[in-house]
Amino acid sequence: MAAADVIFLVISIIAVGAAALAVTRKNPIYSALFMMVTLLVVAAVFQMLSSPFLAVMQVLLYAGAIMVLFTFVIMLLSLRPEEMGETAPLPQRIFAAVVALGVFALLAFPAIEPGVPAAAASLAPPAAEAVRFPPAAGTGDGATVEFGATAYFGHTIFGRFVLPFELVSILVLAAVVAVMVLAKRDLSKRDVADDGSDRDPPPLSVSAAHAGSIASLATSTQPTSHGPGA
Amino acid sequence: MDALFTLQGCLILSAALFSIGVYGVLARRNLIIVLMSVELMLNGVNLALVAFARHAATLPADTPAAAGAPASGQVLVLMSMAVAAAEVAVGLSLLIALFRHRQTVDSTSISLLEG
Repeated sequence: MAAADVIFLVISIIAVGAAALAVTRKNPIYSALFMMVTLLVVAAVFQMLSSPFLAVMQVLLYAGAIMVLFTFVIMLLSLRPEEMGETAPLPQRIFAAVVALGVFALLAFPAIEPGVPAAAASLAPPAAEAVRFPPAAGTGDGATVEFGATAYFGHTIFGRFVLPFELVSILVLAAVVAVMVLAKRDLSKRDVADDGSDRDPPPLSVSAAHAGSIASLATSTQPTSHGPGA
Repeated sequence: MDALFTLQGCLILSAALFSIGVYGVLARRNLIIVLMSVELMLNGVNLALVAFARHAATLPADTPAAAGAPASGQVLVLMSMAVAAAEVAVGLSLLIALFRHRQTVDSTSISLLEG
C-alpha cells in the first residue's frame, strides 16, 4: 500500500466514525461538531482527488457557512432537553438501520464488482498526467494545465457553464428572499392572532434577566475599554 | 485489492456516508439532525461526483467517458454545493418558523395534516 492508501484508509475511518456519531448524538450541538469533522475530512479527500478548489470550497461553504448556520440556529432555539425530541422507538431505529444497510449494499456492491479494471487503478496523482487537457480558451498556445487546476476550472465555469452558473445565482437570490419572508416575525404574530391563542412567548428574544445582565456587563466593561485611550 | 485509494474506495466511502445519512433521516426525530443527515447524504454524492471526475481524467483520451470538458464534474459539484447552501438556509428558516408556532422540533409532534 502506498502512502496515499494509508492516508485514505485512516481518514475514511475518521469520516465514517464521525458521521455515525453525528447522527446518533442526542444533543444537536455535538452532532454539528461531529458533522464538521466529517465535512473537513471530505475536504481532505477532495484535495487528495486533486481538486484543490473544491476542497477550499468545501471548507468555506460546508464546514464554514452551512455548519455555522446550523450551530447558529441550534444556539438560537436553545432547546431544553425535553424539547429536543424523544429518542425514536427501537423498532423504528432497527428499521432505519436495515434500510441504511440495504442502501449501502445497493450502492457499494456494484462499485466493487470486478471486471472494470480501470476502477481499481489508484487515483493518487501520478506525475505524467498533466497533458491530458486541451488548451483552455484564452490561454493561447495551449499551455497544459493539470487536472483540477483552478485556472482551468474558472475557464470552464465562466465559459461553457456560464448559463447554469447564472441560474444558480438566481436560485440563491430566491432562497435569500424566501428566508427573509419565512423568518420574519410579523408573519408568525398574525397567524397566532388568527388562532386566537397566545402561543407566542418570545423564545428568540433576549429575556429580561439576560438583558439586565448584558447591560450590567456593558457598563462594567465600559471604563476599562476607555481606560487606555484616556 | 492492494490499492485502496481508487474509484472503488471513494465510492464505498461515499456509499457509507450516504447510508449513514439515510439512517439519520429515518431514525431521528429531531428535525435539526434530520436536516444535518440530508447534508451528509449530499456530501456523499458530491464525493462520488469528484471521484468520477478524477477517474475520467485517468482514462485514455479516446474513450467516450473522457470526452467533453474535463472539469465538468467539478463544476457540477460546485453547483450542488450552492444549491445545498440555499436548501439549508430555507430549511433552517422553516425550522425557526415552525419552532415559533409549535415550540418543538420533534418531527412526530408536527401532525397538523393528520386530522
